[in-house]
Amino acid sequence: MSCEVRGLSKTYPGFRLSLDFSVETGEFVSLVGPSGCGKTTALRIIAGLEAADSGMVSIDGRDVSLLPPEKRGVGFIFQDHSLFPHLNVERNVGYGLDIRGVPKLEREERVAALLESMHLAGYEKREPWGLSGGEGQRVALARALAVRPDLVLFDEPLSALDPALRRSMSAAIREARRKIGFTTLYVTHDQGEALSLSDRIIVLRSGGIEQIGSPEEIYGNPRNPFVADFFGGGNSIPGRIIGTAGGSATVETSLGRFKAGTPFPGRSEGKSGTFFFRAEDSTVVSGAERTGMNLIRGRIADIEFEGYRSRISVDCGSGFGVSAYVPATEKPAIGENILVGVPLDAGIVFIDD
Amino acid sequence: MMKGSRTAAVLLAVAAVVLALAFYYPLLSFLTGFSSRGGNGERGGNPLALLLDPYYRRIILFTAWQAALSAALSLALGLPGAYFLSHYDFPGKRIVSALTTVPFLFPPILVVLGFTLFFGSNGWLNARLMSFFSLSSPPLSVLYSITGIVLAHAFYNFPVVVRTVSTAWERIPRTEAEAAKTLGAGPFAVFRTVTLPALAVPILSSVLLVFLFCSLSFSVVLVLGGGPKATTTEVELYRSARIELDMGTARALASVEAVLNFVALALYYLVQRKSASVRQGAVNASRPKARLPGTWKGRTALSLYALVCLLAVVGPIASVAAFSFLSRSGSFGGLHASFIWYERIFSIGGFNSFSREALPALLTTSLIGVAAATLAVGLGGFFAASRSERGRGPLALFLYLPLGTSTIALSLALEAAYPRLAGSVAAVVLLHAVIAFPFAYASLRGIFGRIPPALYEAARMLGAGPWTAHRTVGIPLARRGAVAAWAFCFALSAGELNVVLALGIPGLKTVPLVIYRMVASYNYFAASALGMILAALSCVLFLFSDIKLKGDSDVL
Repeated sequence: MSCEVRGLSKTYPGFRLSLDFSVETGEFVSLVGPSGCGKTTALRIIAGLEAADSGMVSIDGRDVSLLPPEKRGVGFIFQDHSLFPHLNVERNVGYGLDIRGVPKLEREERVAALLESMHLAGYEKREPWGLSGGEGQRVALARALAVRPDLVLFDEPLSALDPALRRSMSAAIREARRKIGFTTLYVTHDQGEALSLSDRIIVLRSGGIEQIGSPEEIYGNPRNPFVADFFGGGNSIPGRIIGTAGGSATVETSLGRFKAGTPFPGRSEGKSGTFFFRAEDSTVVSGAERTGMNLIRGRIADIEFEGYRSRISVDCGSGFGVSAYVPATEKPAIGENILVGVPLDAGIVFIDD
Repeated sequence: MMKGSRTAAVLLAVAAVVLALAFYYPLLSFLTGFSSRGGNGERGGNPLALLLDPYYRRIILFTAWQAALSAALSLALGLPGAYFLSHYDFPGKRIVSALTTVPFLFPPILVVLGFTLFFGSNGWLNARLMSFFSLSSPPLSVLYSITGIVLAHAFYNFPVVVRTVSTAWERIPRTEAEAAKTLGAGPFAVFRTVTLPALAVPILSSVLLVFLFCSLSFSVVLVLGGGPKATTTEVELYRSARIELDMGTARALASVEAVLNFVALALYYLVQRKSASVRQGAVNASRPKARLPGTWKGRTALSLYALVCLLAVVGPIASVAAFSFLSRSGSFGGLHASFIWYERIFSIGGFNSFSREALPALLTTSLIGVAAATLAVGLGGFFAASRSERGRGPLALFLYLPLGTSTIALSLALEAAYPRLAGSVAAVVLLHAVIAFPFAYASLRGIFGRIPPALYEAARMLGAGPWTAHRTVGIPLARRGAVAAWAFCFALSAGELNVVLALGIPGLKTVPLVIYRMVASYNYFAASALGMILAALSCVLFLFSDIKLKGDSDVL
């Protein structure tokens, strides 16, 4: 039940999708990227709803590239659930079984069991328009799972839901996977969703893959500023690489010298590079804590209270600013001069292209 | 991948061929003169010569003039209605809004009858005015002149304006007017800067449509017009071909008419396209409307407007209803209530010619209606379903062409192209289907267009092939709408007189034809009774399905 995508390409005016990746049996893989990166097109090509210009899609070792969608054995969850408005919940969920000629009795049993496991027991006779957004999406999931597809494709299924429902729906997806165990390819533009649901994440940008990795890798060890920025964001300070000794790199910038403790490949002295760190990894430090830290001097320009912490924007002069967090117990003031500290192992150095 | 299958293409091709053979080929060959070899008594027949002849030039100008006046009066009558309908939820609104479809399906011959009974010299209105003011002669003389034509046309068509404009008015987001108000705009400035720009397109398109209908109108001008002074190209076309037997002139007239109407239709189409691209807003559903205007001024205006509509719309219809239950003792005796006309319609094998004609005519009309409506909806469905996922191209103009085509010219054209067919009922069925086709296509296109493509895709992802997806998703969702479209086409066919009159098939008597002959021989009572049955047949069927459909459309 693995899915393999080889040399897939599709060209539109001003856009070229080019993909190679695979999804292992039982795995949950997310395709993530900003709008227009080609993630939904990729999903629709795998589903058979759109044709690729070239390349191959195989599911469970079987080349399905030339098959129509109904012959691919793939489930699809649409953004707006797309339940059939003229059929009740039971008949929506049973639709695929009906098409396959599953006898009525067996169909009803399977539908009932599925609704039960999706916490939708008693919803059989309800009409789609009477369902809430979350219920509709759970029915849509049940409908796709009813025919036991080899692979389930999700096209931004949570984007039409409000934040609270989003959380409970993603819990529902995790629970369904634990119970039923299907292979998943999941498209989203929401990094939080991808991090919390996936076994692996494929980061897309204008039709190409930027990085493939586990959520921890993607977040903790982004390959380039785009991935770092898309997953969590942070501060980027441009400069020049002056040393890569001892598994670390040093960057000379207009705000001073910064050292990143993460292993750094190759010799890159003299190249232009960027020192990156996440706001949540940095703190405001006093004199005693300075050792083992990169330090940035600046003035507080703005403060946003976020409840348990406050985000401060620091003006570092020469047109640069960074942001950092302080605990809500501290009461910094706008205009105060401070030192922002970034631990050595929290910084990342990227070599510019 | 989601393209239709080969079967779909074949069915579409069949539909296209039917339309081509029944409409484009006969009409084009008639207008260009290919099918005129050995025609009966051809004289002249040059459209340009026709334009130079003052007699015909006057008829052509009169046609445009009366259509323009009718469109203007329809607009004046329709705008207040559009306002009230889009701004208030007054009791009975649903029925009123369903009634706005009346002009499309109320048989024109009944309009003529109603107008004669209500506004005529011996009509209800004149009788009331005479007795009230103690006059010796009827004060109103509106019939048999341009006034009568324009009044009848306006009564008949102003609901088109109400329907089109109120729909658009309802969709202007109320926040736009509110934003203008917060920026300092007064009521007039709001109307000028927000409302009017949003309504310009629907107003223009409804006025163009009314203009087109009125310039093609036949029965109203035939009966209510006044000889050579107040006649239109459509009636003159009929007169040339059927009374003077001058096919050359008829064809020349048809050509001139076709060009003018094509221009109007093309304009209408362009405006429609614009409206589709301008605004696709949803109805302001979340905020409830007031039931009635809040101020006494507003209520007075609404009441006055309702009174005018009552007089203009309900007056003539009520007259027909009232006359159907009246009878006169002897030739000059007094009137008394009577069921005699209905009894005669349903008495089989009576001596009276009315008894012998009425029931068979009802049967013939119903059969033609069923066949024509089925054909029209079938054709419309093939085109609508296959085009639902694509945009509306200029090709759509050709599908709407029958809407702007003279039914008299079309009948003559069919007769010239297929002389043997033209002598049979099949010709009537075919022509009625062609005339109803644009309505069927438009309404089905709307219905298929509202089905989100994702529903078809969802069906495909669950294992349905393209046809199964259509069968299990598309068709069930379009079914209710298709029933309404069918009822509409049936009503259109059942009330149609022009084709039947123009083809003049011996022995073929439909209800509108029988009514027309009775009106011509001043047998108003029997005509009214038969008219009531025809109206009941058409309207009840359609209004029922329209109301059902409205409730149903929440599904999509």
